[in-house]
Amino acid sequence: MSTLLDPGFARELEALRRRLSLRARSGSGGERIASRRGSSAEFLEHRPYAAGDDLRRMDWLAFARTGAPVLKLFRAEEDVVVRLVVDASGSLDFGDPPKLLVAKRLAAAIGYMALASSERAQVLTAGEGLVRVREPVRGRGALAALLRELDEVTASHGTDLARAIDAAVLRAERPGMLVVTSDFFDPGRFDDALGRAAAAGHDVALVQVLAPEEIEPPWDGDLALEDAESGTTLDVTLDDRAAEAYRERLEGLFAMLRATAKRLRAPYVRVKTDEPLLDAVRRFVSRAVD
Amino acid sequence: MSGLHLLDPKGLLLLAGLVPLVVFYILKIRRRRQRVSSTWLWMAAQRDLVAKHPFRRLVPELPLLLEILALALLALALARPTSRGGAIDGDHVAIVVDTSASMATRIGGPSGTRTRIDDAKAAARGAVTRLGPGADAIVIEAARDAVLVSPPERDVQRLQNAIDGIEARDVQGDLTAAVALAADRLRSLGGRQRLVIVTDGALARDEPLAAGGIPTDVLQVGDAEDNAGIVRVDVRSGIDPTSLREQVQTFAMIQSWTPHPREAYVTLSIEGRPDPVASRRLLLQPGDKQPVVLTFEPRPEDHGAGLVVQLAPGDAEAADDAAYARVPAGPRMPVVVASDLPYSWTTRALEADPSVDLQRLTIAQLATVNIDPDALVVLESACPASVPGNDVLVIGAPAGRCFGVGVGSTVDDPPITSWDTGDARLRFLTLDGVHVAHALALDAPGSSAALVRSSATTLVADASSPGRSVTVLGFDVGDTDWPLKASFVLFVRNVVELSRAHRAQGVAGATRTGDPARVKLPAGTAKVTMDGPGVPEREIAARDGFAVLPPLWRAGLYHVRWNEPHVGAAVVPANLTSAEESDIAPRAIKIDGAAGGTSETVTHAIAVHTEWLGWLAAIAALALVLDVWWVTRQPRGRVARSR
Repeated sequence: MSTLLDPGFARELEALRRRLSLRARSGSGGERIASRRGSSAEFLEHRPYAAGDDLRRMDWLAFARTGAPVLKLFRAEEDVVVRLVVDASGSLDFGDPPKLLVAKRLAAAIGYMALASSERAQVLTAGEGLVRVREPVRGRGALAALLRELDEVTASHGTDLARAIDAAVLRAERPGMLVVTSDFFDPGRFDDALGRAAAAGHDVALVQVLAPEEIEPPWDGDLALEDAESGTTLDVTLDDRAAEAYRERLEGLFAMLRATAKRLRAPYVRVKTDEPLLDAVRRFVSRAVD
Repeated sequence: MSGLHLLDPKGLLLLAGLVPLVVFYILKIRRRRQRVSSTWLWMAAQRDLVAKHPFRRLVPELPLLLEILALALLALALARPTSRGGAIDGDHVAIVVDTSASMATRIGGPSGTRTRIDDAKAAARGAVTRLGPGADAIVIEAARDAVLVSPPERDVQRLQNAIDGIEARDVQGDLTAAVALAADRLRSLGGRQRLVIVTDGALARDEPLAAGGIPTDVLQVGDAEDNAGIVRVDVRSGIDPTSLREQVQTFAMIQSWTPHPREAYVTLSIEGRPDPVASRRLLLQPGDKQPVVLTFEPRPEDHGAGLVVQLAPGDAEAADDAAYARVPAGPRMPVVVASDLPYSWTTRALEADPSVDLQRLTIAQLATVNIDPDALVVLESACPASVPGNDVLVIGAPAGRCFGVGVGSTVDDPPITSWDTGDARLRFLTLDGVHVAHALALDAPGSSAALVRSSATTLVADASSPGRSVTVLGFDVGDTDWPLKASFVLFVRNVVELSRAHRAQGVAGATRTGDPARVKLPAGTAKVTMDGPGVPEREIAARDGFAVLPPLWRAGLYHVRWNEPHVGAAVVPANLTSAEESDIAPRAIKIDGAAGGTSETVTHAIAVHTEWLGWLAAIAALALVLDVWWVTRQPRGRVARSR
């Protein structure tokens, strides 16, 4: 098993996977009971008979009791493609452990749960758009391939999450779950792209990975801040006021992500690189909004 | 207040230091480099911060700003900003600037960087800026004489340029004359008048200034300074009775105005020689006046050379720390007797004088032999048109014209009726009993030129011209019994001594600074060149054996050279030697209000300026302290956030 997913963690995930609810429609048959009507054995509801309905679906017992012809409807069974969009921009190559590693471990955990639930999982690498797209894999047997694909993701790109999300949506033949794992340090309108994905039927999920020093900068004095992505520097005199202004901006980003998640009924999980990942996964499967 | 004025604008040159300061600061800033995932939020936060706190962007540059502030304040302090009183009322203002020697006194002692005249010019420039609208001003320099530096002028810049051209002279000043001139000029202009006197108060003449009833502002500069100076110098040549060799004695009077005893050295040196020829150590008590005599034995080539008497160590007023003189000519007087006669009574009389260096020539040799230009030439029975040397004694002038004196017909037995006992040549002698057998009548050009008269005619006439003393005798002394009398020897001796005095004087007139000097030259010299302290070489016309040098403003040795009729040179010493001018202690200025016939004279003793140097320097120091504190401060408030 890869370093992204140790056996103990996998065991915990095994228990959590059953709580993972996917609200997406893929259209193809699978193990997951879909919310729409279908042909599974699980009863969904009755409806009055209409001319032309298949008489084999008539609930004769109900007709005998009530005298009204009704049809018996069942839930559909379908699989879901969990698309793991991993931000591999340079900004993720920061922190100890690096944010990208944490993002990949989270993606691996979500992917594991999807594969274990007989869903399909696909790794998409985001940078300035989609920089790498892997074919969806399915079943527990594909876990190794999934982890290998995640292992190969390296941070070396700029950021344009909106383009990446739009590209992922365009490439998707069927909607599924779209898990965006990023630090969301992107001035672009990725929230609009997320809205477009949700409108296309995708079950959007936001996972934000941050280093502790990004939440509470420990530095002080006259600094030349070097951007990990562009290499440009910004001269900053970091004192109480400057730190406060930064925190306000960061809180603004959190609030925007929170509002987007609520609007799209999507989970939003914020993860610090030094916190246990299992807690984050628990919040994810419970569709929490941090 | 009429604003700030800069006493020494050159101090602003320090602002040039801003350029390297900024360059060094740019080079010096080394921000700690910190890698972050993204600067996006930081940029946004910076924008927020600047929007909320507009001056925050200056915070990183605070040390630079403080250093620029300190440097600018120091530059301003060096420029010595001053504030002065209000505007000067008056349609016509006369600004009199004292430029006497005391105004060259260095403020703060000999190592001081500025002088009283610097402050005076700054005060005068400030006064110009305080002129009322439409008012004009004249600027008068009060040196030995009053000099109008600027005619009535409204243009402040021109007035300030005129003031900038003023400098202190090594002369005894006469502020009284300058104030009188200013008052006179103002009265001629009418309107409302105002007199502004800029002086150190160390006036040579302790008498009230006659402002003629014109409202007067006195701007007094300078503080009390220690000073000692040479107030008199005299040089004599003589024979040392012990060694019987020629000796030059230099007498100098040293006066001290220091409030404490002072040790001083007086040295005597010859111009062009590296080592002094004599020196003395003195202990000057407060207010002391001590004579010093320095002697040396001159070499033959030293005669006529410049002598420098130096008082060391120097003090606030440099002009009186040195005095200048010439090495006088030797004690033996060169006398040339030109005669074709077989026997000469005059020669016998001259041979008896041990101080005479006698040379005998024929009349024809006068034109060919090189004769000392200071020599006394005695002509017997001849009067050529051109006579070398200096003074001339003509005995038995031939008929015709001799040095402008008409020599006429023979007069037999002319009785001597009178002689000019006041003339130096006839001092201490009597001509009673002198019998003249026959003489030629002299037609003296004026009654004052007749030295010895008979009842009918002049027997001895003075035919002197500027620079040359000429005595014409209308008779041959061999035709008289005068050589048998003591008065003849006395007469010859008197003529020699008069010539000796002329030779010793060399330069006619006083050699005090501020006076024009007359230099005796060989007859026929038409032009000379001169140079000296502060005077570049210039050409000066000469006439009648004299050249008149322009006023010598600096104490020192001036050199005069000529090339015709033969190459020659003379040294002209010029000295301050004024006890009044060497007393540089400021004194209260008295203005005589009644002098102008009115009692409305208003005298304002205005403080020249309030200098802001100290305050500016203090603020600059505070800025530097803040700068150090800022640079070395400990980070604050970060510990709590780093939880």
